[in-house]
Amino acid sequence: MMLFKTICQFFVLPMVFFTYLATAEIAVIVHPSNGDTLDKSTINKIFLGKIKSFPGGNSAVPINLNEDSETRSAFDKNVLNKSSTQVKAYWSKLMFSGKGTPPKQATNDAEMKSLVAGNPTHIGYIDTAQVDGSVKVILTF
Amino acid sequence: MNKYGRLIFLIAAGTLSATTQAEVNLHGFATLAGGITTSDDENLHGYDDTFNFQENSLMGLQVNSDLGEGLSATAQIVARGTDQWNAKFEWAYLSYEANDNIKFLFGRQRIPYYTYSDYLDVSYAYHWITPPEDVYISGGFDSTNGVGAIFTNQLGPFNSTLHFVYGRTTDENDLDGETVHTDMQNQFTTAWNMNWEWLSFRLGYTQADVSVDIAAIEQLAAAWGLAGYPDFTTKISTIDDDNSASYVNAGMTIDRNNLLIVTEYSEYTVEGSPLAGDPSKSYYASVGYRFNNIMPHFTVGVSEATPADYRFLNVVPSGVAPALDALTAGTTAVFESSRTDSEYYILGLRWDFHASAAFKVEYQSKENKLTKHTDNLLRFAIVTVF
Repeated sequence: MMLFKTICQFFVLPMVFFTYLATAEIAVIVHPSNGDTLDKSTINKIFLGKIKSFPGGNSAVPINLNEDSETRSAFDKNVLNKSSTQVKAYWSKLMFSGKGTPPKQATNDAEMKSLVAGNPTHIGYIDTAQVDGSVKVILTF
Repeated sequence: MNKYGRLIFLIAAGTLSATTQAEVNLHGFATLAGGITTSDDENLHGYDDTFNFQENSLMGLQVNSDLGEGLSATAQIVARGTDQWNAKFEWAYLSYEANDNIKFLFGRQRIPYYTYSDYLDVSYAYHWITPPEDVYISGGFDSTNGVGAIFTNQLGPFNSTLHFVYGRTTDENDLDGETVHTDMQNQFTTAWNMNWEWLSFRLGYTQADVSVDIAAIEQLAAAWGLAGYPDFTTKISTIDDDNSASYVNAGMTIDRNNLLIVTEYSEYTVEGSPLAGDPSKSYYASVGYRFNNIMPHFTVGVSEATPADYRFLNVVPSGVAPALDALTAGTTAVFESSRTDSEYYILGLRWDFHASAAFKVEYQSKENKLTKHTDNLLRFAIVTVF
C-alpha cells in the first residue's frame, strides 16, 4: 500500500503535470522531405494566405485543425495573433470578396498527420505529444 | 451494348467523374436587422418611427467551384429585405490564377470603391451593422460587368494588394415610385492596399461615365432648350455624355490585439450633373475595443458637399416672365439639393455570442446642420457566416 502511494506520488502526479505542459505546446509540422526553415512570421503569413510558397520556392498549402480543437485556438492566438472570431472575420472578408479561400481543415490530429506526411506541399500543426516519425517538426510554441 | 458502345460509355463516364471531382464550395452570410427612429419626425437610412425589419436584412450564398489549373467559377446570390427578398446575382465570374501573385476575373464583380466595399454585405466581417451609410452609398453602383485583375506582392515587410476593375453596369432603381435607369460606363477602378501585421493603408480611385435617367431632370433640361438657352441642357441633363464621375478614397486601419481604429476619407464629383456636389466629401473615424467576446465601438463622421457651379443661370433675366422665373427656381433647387453639411456619431456594441454569429446593437445620431434637424436611429442585428 505504501509502495503504491509512493509510486503514485513519484510517477503519476509528475506525469499528469507533464501532460499538462505537453498540451500547451504546438508543433508546426511539414513533410519529412521539406528542408526549409521557417520563422513564426512566415508561418503566420502562410496561414493567412499572404504568401503561398516556402522560402525554398515550393508551393505551401496550409492545413488547419477544425474549429473545435483547442490546439487550433492556441495556434490562432499564438501564431496568427487573432482570436478564433477574428480569424473567421478575416477569412470572410477574403472569401466573400473573391480574394482568397481559407485553408483546408483536418478533422483530427491523425488526419492532420496523414495529410502532412502524404504531401510535400502541406504544412500543419499538432499537439507536440502527437508528433511521430511520419512528420518533421520545424517549430514549436 | 456492343464493344464500341461500352468504350464510349466508359470515356463519357470518365469525363463525367472528372468534372464532378471539381470541388464545389458553398458558403453564406446573413444579416437579420431591425431598427426604429426615436420620434415621428425622424427618418434615417431608410428607417422611420415604425419598426422596420427589411431595410438592412439580407441573406447571401456564394458558390465557388475550383475547375483546376487555376480556373474557378464563383457566383454570389443575395436576397435583400428591401427588394422583397428577391434573389439576385450580385456577382458571377470566372477567375484565373496565372500564378501565386496574379489573378484575373471575368464577369460580374464588386467594385472596390472603399475599404469595406468588397464585402459590404457581410456584416460578420466588421464591427458595425453596416459601414457608415454616408460613405457607403449603396444601391445600383456596387458591381460592374467587366474584367478585373488582382496583384498581390510582398514589398519588403508589407503585403501589397493592387486591384483593377474595368466594366460597365446598368440598373433599374425605384426612386419615389418612379423607375430610374442608371448606366455606368467606362468604369475604371483602382484600389491599392498595403498591410503590415496590424496596420493597413488604402488608396482608391474610380472614374466612370454615369448616366441616370430621371424624367423630372430631363424635362427641366429640355425646357431650357425651349426657353432659348440650349447650352444649359448639357449642364442639367444627366443622361448626356458629359457626366463623368470620379471617386477618391484614402483609409487607414489599425487592428492590434484588442484595439481597432478605422478611418476613411472619401470624395466624389460628377461633372456636368446637378445632382452631385462639387465635391461631395465624407469622412469618419471609428474606435473599438475587444473585451473578450464584446466590442463596444464609437464612430464620428462628417459629410459635406457644395453644389456644382450653377452661376450659368445668372444670365437669365429675372422678373421678366413668370415661366422663366419658375424654371430658374426649379433648376436652382435641383442644384441646391446636393448641398450637405452634417455630422453623425454612432455608438454600438458587438457581442460574439457564438462561434459563427454575433449580435449587434447600434445607436446613430445624425445632425443636419443646414436644417438644424437631428435624426436618431436605434438598430440591432444578428449576423452570421456559414
